[in-house]
Amino acid sequence: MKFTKTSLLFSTAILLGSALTGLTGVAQAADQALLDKDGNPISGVSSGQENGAEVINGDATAGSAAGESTVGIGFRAGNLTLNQVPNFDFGGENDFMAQTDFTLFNEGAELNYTDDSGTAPRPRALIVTDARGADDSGATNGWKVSVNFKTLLTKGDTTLGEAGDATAAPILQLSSAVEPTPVTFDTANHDTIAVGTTVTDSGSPLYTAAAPVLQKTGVTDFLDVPSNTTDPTTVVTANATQGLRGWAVNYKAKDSVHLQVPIEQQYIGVFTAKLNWTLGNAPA
Amino acid sequence: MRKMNMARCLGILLFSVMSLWLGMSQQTHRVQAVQVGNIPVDVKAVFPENQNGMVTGYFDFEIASGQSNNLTLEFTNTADKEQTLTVEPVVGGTTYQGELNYEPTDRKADSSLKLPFTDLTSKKQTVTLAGKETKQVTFPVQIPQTTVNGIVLGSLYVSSEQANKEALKARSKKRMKVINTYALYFGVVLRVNDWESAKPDFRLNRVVPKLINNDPGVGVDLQNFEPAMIKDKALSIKARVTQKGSTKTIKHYNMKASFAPNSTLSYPITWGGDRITAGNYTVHMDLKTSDKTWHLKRNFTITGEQAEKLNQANQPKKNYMWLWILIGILAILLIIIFVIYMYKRGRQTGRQSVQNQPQNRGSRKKKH
Repeated sequence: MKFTKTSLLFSTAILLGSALTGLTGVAQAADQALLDKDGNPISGVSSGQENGAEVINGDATAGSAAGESTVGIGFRAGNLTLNQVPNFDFGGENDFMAQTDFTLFNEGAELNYTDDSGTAPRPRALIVTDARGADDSGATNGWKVSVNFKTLLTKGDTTLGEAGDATAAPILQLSSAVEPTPVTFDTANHDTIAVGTTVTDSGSPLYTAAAPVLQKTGVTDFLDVPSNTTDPTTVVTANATQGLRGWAVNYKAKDSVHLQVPIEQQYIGVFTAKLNWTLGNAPA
Repeated sequence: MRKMNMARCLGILLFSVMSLWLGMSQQTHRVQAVQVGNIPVDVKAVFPENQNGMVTGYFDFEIASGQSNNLTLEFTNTADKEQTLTVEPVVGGTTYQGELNYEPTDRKADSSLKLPFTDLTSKKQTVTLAGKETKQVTFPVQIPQTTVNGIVLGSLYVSSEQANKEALKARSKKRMKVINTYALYFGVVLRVNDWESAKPDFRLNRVVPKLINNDPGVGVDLQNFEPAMIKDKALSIKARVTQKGSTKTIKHYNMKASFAPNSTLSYPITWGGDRITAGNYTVHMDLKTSDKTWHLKRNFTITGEQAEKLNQANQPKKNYMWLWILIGILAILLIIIFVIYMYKRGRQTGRQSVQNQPQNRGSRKKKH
């Protein structure tokens, strides 16, 4: 609460100084990491969720864009695993009522980036490892990752916007221009991500196949994920010959993901965008 | 000179009032990302003896009327902490993208569906795993006496309500926030009786005026009313909308689709940035698989009220904040003028009072 007031005064002060030149660049004072006794940020711990700060695995100055969401639910290790989903943070002091298009708060990390201190900020990436089909059984296996986007009111899990009605609803837009990158995701070694290359040599079948395919809406470079449908939206698919071994889709750029929030929904007040990520293993 | 000062004064006032307002509207707005803890559980399908040997990722087998079989999942908790998972049978469907859907939706059962997967097996089950425990969960499948030949499509959908609740609980009272939850599924393909004799067939049902990604448009219900499926997007669909009786295409949208047996695709045709107008329309759909084509059409009407609603939906609501600000500024100005006036008048009155004039006469006069 104390902070909120400070923030209000702060932004007001800054606005007083800069109102004529526009409403940009309000300070990110909110992002304060919880530090351990050595001064290192504590992974996954935020100092006061009310401030919107979340420091993940990285240093405080890298900010909170590289959200980690390691998923342990998976098929038996060595088979098909959803290793990680991106954590989208649209933070930053946006001009709420005047804006309907929000981009990610800041630039994400490279897949295999390690800073001078040896810490590797977690990239904002979707990572799937498919280690099936390594035998010659001729088995037909593909996979699919879909996302179901719901915007929930704070009280209960009520969804905003009904399917088929005429209420404009929030839409998440994922870039389909991001190149899937072959990686290895080492769960035994602190979930280290190593970038590999596509290898077609069956003698060293680390990456033996073509990239999985990112879906898009129409002819655009984005996949629209509407929140007012009960159908999930498919994000990335792989047929039997695609997406073998580890693949990452790294939403690194700020504008690789957009959140469209219609003005009228902004009046409704507090809501949560819930993304349910599902790894599927079924006929496509 | 005084006028200029006044203008400057007004400028500063306007400035600070606006800044205050903008500052207020800004401070609550942050979209958050919140982590969900790990769900360290491996899930593996245990296939029945007659499982299709070419399929190792999901359940796929033949089953006849009156027969039963088992769908078994094996869970291994790789952590020391207890884990609780939910396994839910789901009826397979077709999404608006033309993708096969294996996830729970709010959709009603399809009108043509005779053997919903959920009626053939047990209800949702909860599995609790102690640390490092491995446990099998079985969903028995029982096909009733039936003359239906075809495919029953569905899934066993695995999620952790515990983890999802934790994610939801992590919500703060901030304006907007993004949380992640997770699930996975194993597809189930039951090939019932002489399943190969069933072939997909299509018809157009309702046309629903609705917003497509917040633009005006229509959702055309395209139904596959046979228990046969189309995989790997082998169905190509070309759809266009004309005025009724006209051949001129107004809007069109093409798609390659997969199709679940006995399911309906809400086919999206958007007007894009254009306004939709009331009138009578016809939707034409050409469908093509490798061995069959369909030419379907259906008339529909968009009423003035519907068109208005859709066209208005994504328009910003009128914001009267500027009016309040203006009123506020005017009020402050009036007060300032009043104060200045009173001050000057006070000085005048001070002089006048020396001449024994009643003090309140002037102000009473002013009121009229």
